[in-house]
Amino acid sequence: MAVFPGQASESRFKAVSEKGSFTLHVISSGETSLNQLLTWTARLVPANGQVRKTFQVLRDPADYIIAGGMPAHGHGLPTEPRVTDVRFDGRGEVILTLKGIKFQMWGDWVLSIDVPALQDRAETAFTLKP
Amino acid sequence: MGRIFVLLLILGLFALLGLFDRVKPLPWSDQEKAQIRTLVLPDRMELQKRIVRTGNAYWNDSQALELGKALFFDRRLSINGEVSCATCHQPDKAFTDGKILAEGVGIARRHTPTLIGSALIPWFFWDGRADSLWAQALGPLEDPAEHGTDRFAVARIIAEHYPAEYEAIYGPLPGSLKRDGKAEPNQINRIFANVGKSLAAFQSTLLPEPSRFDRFAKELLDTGESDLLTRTEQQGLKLFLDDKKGQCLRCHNGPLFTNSDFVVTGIRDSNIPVGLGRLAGIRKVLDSPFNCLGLFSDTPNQCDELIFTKKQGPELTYAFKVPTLRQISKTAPYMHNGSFETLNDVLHFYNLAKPQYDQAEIGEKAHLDIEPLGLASGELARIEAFLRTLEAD
Repeated sequence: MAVFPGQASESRFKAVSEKGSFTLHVISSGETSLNQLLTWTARLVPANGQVRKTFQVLRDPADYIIAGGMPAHGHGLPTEPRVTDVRFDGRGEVILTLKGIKFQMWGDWVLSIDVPALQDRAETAFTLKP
Repeated sequence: MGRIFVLLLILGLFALLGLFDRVKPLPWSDQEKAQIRTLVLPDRMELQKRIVRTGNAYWNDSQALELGKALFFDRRLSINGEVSCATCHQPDKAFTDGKILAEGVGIARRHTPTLIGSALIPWFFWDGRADSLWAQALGPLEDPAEHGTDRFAVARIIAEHYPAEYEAIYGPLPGSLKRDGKAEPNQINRIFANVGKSLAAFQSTLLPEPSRFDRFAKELLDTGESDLLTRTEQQGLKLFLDDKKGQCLRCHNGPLFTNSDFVVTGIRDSNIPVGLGRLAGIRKVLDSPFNCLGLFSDTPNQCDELIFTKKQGPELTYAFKVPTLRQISKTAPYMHNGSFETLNDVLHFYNLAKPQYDQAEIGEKAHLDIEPLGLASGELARIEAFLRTLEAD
């Protein structure tokens, strides 16, 4: 699991989706303090042309669902973060703005993006440390 | 003679142990030092920058502060003229009252929390039913067991006793209120909200002061070692930080030793099953006309805490706010129901992690955020020794 020092100005985590249709890259922005609302970015890289075409119509933030938590503690995120912006780059990759993320503890976290239209989800895992 | 010798020997031994306890520093890992760095209290200027200003443009207004201070100690703001904010939030008890449950005009439902550092956190009341310090201040005024008054009576007191002070900050009071004690509901609500904002401006000055722990931490981080905490206290700090042992840092993190989150620790509320903790609190704050998004908020475009907070899920049922540990040795009894007389009682409760209620009372699949620690009583005593170092100098 990636170790993520909170004082890092940027960290990146990567995971292939469960069905392999896309790769998720989660990118932190600025120092990650506990108990503060954070705005991060997610980049979804389609595995093939078919998925790229599907992504082209998924332009509503509600097409993407964020979840997360600390599995070992049995709890989720303390907030309900949402996708607030969907953009596409020249290669057909999806760039999502994730608002309302908060971590209230140091330790092992997961953060996932679910794409119901693809019936697929990807989950990144990292250890947040001071 | 022999007895005196033995006595002197024992006394000498204790003195040596005390000396040993004070002068022998423990080694600290980089990880522990990084954890400690996150706990050190910033200086007052930095703390002021971190004050949560939700909905309150007057949080730093000196006239609002003075009005708020006068109102805080004014017993006329109660149905019987005997209860002020300071009745429960007593300055000489770290703004608590030493009682199990708060006592205003009646017995309140929950224990009085400290106000020190309250301006630095985003959620208020044990169940988080207010999203700002000013909205919180309005709750006890209308609680039948606390001040027992209402917003109309409060507005009339402002018009009668504080008109010049109020108008200098917030503009003219309604003429009808000054003339015959009457005003439109929203005019009354506006005055009531401004009373809350003044009280919040005063409470924003109640910032935590550095403790012996902070001095220890700074010296340790600067020089690599410090004997400003005894060996026992340092051992307690190590247990506090250890995610496998004390597990305290999970929730009691940051310079206030709280993550301001809501957790289910198995502490009974006064009203099962109605007392649903954070689940009830979030419903109330969303319905409140005094929330960040409401008509009386000065920052309706800066309400992300309210917008993104968790609003549903099993983790919210029976969850209560994590309190600060600063000044904890001065704020007994403990927990939202005030059921533990001493820190020792609290630590033994967490060590066993056995809820005060039958899980079935709040639902078969009720969430619980704590697990047995399995610490020895000596280890609990060391954690307690450390907690006592959080008392301000």
